[in-house]
Amino acid sequence: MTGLGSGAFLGQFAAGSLTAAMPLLLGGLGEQLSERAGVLNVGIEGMMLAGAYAGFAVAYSTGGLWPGLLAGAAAGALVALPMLLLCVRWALDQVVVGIALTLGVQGLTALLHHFAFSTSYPRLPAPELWLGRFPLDYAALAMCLGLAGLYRHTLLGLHLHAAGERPVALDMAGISVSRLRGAAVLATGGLAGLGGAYLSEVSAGVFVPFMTNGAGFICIVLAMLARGRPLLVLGGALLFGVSLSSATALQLLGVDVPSDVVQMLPFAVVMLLLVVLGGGRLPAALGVAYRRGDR
Amino acid sequence: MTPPPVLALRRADKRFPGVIACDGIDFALRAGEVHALLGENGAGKSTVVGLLAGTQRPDGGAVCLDGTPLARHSPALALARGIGVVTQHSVLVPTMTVAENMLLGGAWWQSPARASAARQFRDACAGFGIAIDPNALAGSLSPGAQLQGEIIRALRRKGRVLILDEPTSPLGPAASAHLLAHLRWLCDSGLAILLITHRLDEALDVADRVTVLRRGKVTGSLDPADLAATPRDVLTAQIRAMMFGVTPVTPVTPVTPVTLGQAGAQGHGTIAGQRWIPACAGMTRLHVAGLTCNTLTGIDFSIAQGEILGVAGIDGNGQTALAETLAGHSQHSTGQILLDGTPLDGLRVAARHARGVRYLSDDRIGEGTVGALPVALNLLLKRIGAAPFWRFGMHREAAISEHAARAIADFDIRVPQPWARLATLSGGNMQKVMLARELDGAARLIIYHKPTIGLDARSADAVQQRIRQAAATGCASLLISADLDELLLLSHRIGVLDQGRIAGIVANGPGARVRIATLMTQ
Repeated sequence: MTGLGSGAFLGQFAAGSLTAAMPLLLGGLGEQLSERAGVLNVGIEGMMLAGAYAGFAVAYSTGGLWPGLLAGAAAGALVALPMLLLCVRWALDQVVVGIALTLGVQGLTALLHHFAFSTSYPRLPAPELWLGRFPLDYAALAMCLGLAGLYRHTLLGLHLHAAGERPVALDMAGISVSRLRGAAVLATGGLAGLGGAYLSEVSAGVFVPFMTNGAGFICIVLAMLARGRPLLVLGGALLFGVSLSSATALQLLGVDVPSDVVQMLPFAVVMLLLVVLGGGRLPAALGVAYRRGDR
Repeated sequence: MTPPPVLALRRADKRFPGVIACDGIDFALRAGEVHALLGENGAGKSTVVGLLAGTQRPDGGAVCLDGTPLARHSPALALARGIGVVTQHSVLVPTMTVAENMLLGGAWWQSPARASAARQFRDACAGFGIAIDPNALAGSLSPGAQLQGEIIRALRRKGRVLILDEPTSPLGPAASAHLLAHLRWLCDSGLAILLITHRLDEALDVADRVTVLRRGKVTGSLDPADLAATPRDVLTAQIRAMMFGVTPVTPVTPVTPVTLGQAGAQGHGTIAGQRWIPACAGMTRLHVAGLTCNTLTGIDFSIAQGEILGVAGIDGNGQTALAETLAGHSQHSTGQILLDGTPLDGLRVAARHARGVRYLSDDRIGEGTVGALPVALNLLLKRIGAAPFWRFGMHREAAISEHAARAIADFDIRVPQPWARLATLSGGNMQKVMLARELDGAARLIIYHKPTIGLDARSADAVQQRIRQAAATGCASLLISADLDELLLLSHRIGVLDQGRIAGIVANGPGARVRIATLMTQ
């Protein structure tokens, strides 16, 4: 148990927490955007996983992290495309479609990984840092502030709010609900894919099947707890980052508890937060498909 | 030559599953005119609004603007074309302020100018002679204030057409009169206004032109010359005839007119003259006095043995509250409910059921049955756990099957076998399952809430036959229906609900239709 209080250890711990928080922040911001527009995106786990695989594969073959991140975002958006068609255009059940997408992507990425990387398990080199952090970290923080501004200070923000609360109001005001929701779903896919790519390229440096391991579901919880406020997503993501990181730290420190118990920590935190903070109001039309003129 | 109408429907058809909402409707709005569209529930008024507003697409015919058929129409295009619509149910976002609601629809990158929107809204309110706080959450406003806010928003866009669907329903009498006067003034400035209402006096006070719909068809229209030339009472009678299709009514069951002695002694001033009672009648079964809850005020009536009391009224005037208060679903009421002289107050659903109260919900699929369960269990839904069908917590298939077979035979339920899932049945057969469940031997008061809604004519017939038979066994029946023909066919007396009060109770017989129509449109 040496070095628990040392500066080096604490610095490592904080950096690790931040790195663990980043995919959750990106995914959580995405999920929040989608929920604000009234679409409960349960497929976000699959979108993150698709981003993780595509990001890793492109980064590995091109040797550049940034093309990989871009590919990850694109892959997330690609997985969001069926969600747009099925749930926004054709008004199918969002939860069912989301779960189907997640399961499908899990199978597909495991299969692709099996053919491409399962014999070699290649690793990516550690990313280049800028002022001690990966540059995307700063961009994600800026995005958090940017989204807060967008929700509060643009008509787009008001329109998203209306789409989630009372889509018919938006429709009658002459704004297409399905286009707005569709755009929100695609943006969510992109953000989730980016978060997944961050996970495989920056946090882990390797792709492992099923590596998101419930991160997408934590993003859903984060978005629900934070309601419409991006800064709360940041706070929640950091909290989970700390708990994920402490799971690792506890093992490194050789604390004598089974590793399964330690790995449960983030999920215990989820449940605790839901018990303490849950029960608030979600958008009234969340999860409800909008069809004009239904009666 | 007169200019073509600003906005018109040309032979417009619109069908919904099981209903023809619009059947070849021709209808035109002209600049500088208030055009009143009248009709009872389900006549197709709101569908006309949907077609004009672009929320519904016609199945046949066309929507015309300035005489030209529109190839495409949508709410966005309607706004761009200067058509302002205020629908029957508020379309403000309840969790946003009124001012923010006013801003919806602008270019997405713009910054919402909340302060100036609030200022504009306040000015517009002042011009209208009302005061609504623009910074209040829309959901915190009363329905009337929300409606006024929506009218102001529709006018703010300075369009050519204003469509108002039942605007006076959520407003009190003073606010209604104020709004109507304002409409008059607006249309004098060249706006074309469509006013939908079921209150005849309002329509005649303000309209230049009147069109009446009944069952999806235009049954009559009056142009400005007609309106000017004809005295008010003649017009009223004409319009009522168009709205309700006045035809001679003969009660179908052999009923004997009995001069009302007993009911008068019970002190019911609303029951006038004669009532129609079957031969077995006599004792009061249900007596309701001063029943009040948040949507009902001072409801008084009584129903005799074997009597069917119909309840008419425009939807949303307290029908659901009345049914659920009597059945025991909602407990927040004051006043007295006596069944055979015993108070039901404070008893919950199961206790009332045990005392013979039966309720057929209008929400057949959501509230009345469980689609995933077999028919046999749906027939016992309100007796789960009771002997002889259940013993020691285990269900006894033989007893349940036997009970189901009897009910299926008695009520002519078309089902392959008793353990088929209920969801596989047609609406008519589902309704028969509910009837079979509720009309057991122990029923003393039966509340029917729209029992034939959505059924085809044959099924509806069968259901109506059952209602009559159940009454003949001595049950008191309360029949809530939006279908006036059905009420006139089955009921001995018909009460009219208006804004949670009983506007009057009419004995069935010649002239009843007109008197009910009068009570409904006052």
